[in-house]
Amino acid sequence: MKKKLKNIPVKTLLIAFALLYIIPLLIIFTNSFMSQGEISRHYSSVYDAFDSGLQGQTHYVEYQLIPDLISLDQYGTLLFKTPMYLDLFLNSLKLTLPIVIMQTVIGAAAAYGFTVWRFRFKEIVFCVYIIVMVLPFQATLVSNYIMADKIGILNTHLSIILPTGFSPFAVFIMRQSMKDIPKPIFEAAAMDGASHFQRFTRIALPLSKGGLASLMILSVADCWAMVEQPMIFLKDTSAEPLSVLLSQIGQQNIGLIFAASVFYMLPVVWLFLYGQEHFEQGIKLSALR
Amino acid sequence: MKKIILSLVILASLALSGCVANPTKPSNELSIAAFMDSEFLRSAAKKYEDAHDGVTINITFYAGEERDVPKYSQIVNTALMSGKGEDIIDVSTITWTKLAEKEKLLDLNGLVILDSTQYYQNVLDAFIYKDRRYAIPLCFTFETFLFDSAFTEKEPSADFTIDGLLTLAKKYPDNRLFNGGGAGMGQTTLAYKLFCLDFGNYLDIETKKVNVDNAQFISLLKNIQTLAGRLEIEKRGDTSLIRQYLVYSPAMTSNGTTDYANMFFMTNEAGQAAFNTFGFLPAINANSANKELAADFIQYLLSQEIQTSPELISCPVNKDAAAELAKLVFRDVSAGGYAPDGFDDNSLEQNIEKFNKLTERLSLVQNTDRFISDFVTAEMERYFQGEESAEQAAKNLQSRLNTYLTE
Amino acid sequence: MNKSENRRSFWFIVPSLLGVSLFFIIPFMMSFSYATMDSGGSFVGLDNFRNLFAGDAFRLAAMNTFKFMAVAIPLNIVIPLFIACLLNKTVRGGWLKTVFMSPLVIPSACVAFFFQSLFMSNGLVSHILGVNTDWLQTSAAFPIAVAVYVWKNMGFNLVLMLAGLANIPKEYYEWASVDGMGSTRAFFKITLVYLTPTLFITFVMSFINSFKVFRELYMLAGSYPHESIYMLQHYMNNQFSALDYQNLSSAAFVITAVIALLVIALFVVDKKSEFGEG
Repeated sequence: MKKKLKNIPVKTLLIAFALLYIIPLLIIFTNSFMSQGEISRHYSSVYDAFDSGLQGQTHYVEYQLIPDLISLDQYGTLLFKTPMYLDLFLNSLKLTLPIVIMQTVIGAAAAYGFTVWRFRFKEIVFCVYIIVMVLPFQATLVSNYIMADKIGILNTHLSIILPTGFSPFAVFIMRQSMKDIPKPIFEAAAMDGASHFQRFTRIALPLSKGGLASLMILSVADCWAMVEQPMIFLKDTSAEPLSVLLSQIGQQNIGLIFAASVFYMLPVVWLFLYGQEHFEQGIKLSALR
Repeated sequence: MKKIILSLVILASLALSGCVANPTKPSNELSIAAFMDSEFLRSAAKKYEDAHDGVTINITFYAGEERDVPKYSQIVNTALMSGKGEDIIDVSTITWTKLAEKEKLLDLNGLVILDSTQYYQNVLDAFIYKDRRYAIPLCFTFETFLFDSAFTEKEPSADFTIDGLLTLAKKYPDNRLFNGGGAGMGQTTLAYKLFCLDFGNYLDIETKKVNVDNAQFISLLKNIQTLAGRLEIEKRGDTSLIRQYLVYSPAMTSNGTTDYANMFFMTNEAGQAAFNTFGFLPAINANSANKELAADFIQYLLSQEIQTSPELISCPVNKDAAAELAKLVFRDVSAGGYAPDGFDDNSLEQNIEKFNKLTERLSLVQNTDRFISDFVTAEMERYFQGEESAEQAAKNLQSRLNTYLTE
Repeated sequence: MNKSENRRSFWFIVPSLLGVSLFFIIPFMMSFSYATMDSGGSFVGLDNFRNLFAGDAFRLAAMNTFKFMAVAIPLNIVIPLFIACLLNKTVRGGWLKTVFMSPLVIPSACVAFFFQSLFMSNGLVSHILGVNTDWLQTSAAFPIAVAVYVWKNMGFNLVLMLAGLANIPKEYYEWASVDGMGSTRAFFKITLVYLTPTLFITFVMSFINSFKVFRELYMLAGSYPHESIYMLQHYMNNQFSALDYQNLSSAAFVITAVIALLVIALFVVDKKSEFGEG
């Protein structure tokens, strides 16, 4: 009996909290179907000619879920008048895919290494990894830049892909996940004659699916949203990813921001939903262990 | 953030090349970095080349519009920080005090001779920083205000500090106080002008001290708020007491219509008034290999011959040049029959005298640090829009300026 | 494992090690040279560091960053923990998890836009209160910054904790209630204990993200925001723009040193607790 009574306020609290997240999503989606003029009317700071009699006075922001007039104006402008959009999308892909692949492969391998390698100063090395991982990007940015220049990859996508691909964060996440794998499993496999590589691919990887999924989700989200590195390492505006365009729209042309955000989010959302399945499975598997 | 691209380009070269600039041998080639394209500079350079055999002058005009200022600033900064850059740098739109502190600009004392009788010395001296002369203005303009002559008789001893204006405003409630000459003068603009007059009280760039959170600043804001209704915003009565007037040179006095009798400056308590420089503002790169040539060219730009060129749109710093310009214009004006009756060479001489006397009070140069001007005007704007109280504005501005200066 | 096997396992780490050294560690060491030079290129020893601490800006930034972390990180752990416990009981988590994770996909520009529309002078909050205040220019800026951070990052911590909670066998709680343990004690003795590894990760993630929130804050309030949210990232970003590489390197070094100490301390604690558990 007590549980049922408890449930109602708990549920209400949860739903109220969830609204904080649902509403912005809804607004982004529905407002993307408003015309640019309508957007600037809702969010502008002064009343303009439309609302006569109140001209010049402060106009408070109006949130509106349902557009006055459903219009594909924003999408149209994005896709046709600024035709770079698809190129930028491709650029985002060009950056994200290699980085995620690098991080996963190199990170998982290193995580396995850290799990099974025996060395007195292993933890010190890992400690250094964590320090590098935690540093704010401004601290390492210039180092990356100088190195990229020395190697000669500046102004190419590689200058971002390489440093980010080696990110210690991937190693950290994978190692946390692999830590949970009971040592006896490895030892048994070793006794059965399995090589390190086999132990890695047949045991460690499958048993750390949760970590892999986490890593991929985070990595994709991060890379897709990268703004500072592309602006600094890539001089060509044509090589910039989508995220940079969005940050500029935010400054200049508010009217397009919702449609642009929808475009930006769609691929990642799709990936999330797809990946969440595996994420759940991975968690369940590790629980079964 | 795009500016970071340029800065990092040079950081890389710093790292790779090892930051020691090799002193090169002096040559006969002078390079100049200029912000805006200027016919004056082009023709002066050409004349110099003709007069001096074998010397070539290369001028690069980097930008041209208001919005290019950050870009130009970045380019100059990057070049100088890496030990490169042209011999003469136009510092007209950048914060040259910071460059001076990093010893990227040369002290011109001794290199360029400035005879105090020949120039408007107070204008030149306003650019002294830490007892050194880094930049030399070639010309200047200033704003005066013209008091409506109908009121001059009524208020012969009117005082044009902010308090004086307030008294006037109270005394003549039916008249508009200011007429901004068409361009209008909003509250923020006026408040900022007054702020700059007392700039030294609020900010000490050399010691990085800020003192804005005080009664003086707060009363400045509140006073302008009071005066606000008396600016161009509301139309009240036909006559405005005070008209804004921009003076370019004594040449303007040569047609006899300038009303020196009713001209006044907005001054601070010490009686100082502010002026603006126009166009090319030369400084010499500390790493330049052609220092003497550069100094000589600057000296040439200050000479009477060059300072009378018509392309120098504002008042030349060379006194004789200014007088000569006035006479030239007068000649044209009277030849065309436009000179007012009774205005002759004598009156012109008198006008020139008055002008020189008037300009003696100019001793403050307008702030060029765009960060500071942005912070101050934004904060003032917020106050005038009613978004924050005067005390809050003072507090916010104090902390923001302090953070900026102590970074 | 014999020696050669051990050496072979080392090779798994090699690619990562090479990359991290090449792109992070080595250039970082190289940049230390700048921290000891002045803008003219001559060696000045620890002068830059002395000037760094003498300047108000750096001290303000450091204090604010510390304050921010002290407030925001615990919130970012406690709130999701609370929600996770609630969700765990009601079991109907699926779609809620997705919802709470959504900020990860929303672009920073959009997040900044929303918060701006709430807190600017003609925003929702001003509307409700009937005033005309730009809240980001008042001391409310700090709570707003914390709110941005928690809103954006809570979701991921929530999912992690849900996973961690799911891993605790229900039997433990049953045994505990049989033993007469109240739910509060059960929380502390069972939940928190078995959640420790999860809490560790969420702490690390929260710490990293507390630096990343700079992006949204920059879009909201610019390079020189209100004094309560001017943080180390702002300081460093401005040094970038001003090309003050010396100051930047010294600041970066100080920050790295502090972080290193923290991490080492955390490590020591972690190892000790592992030993304690045997």
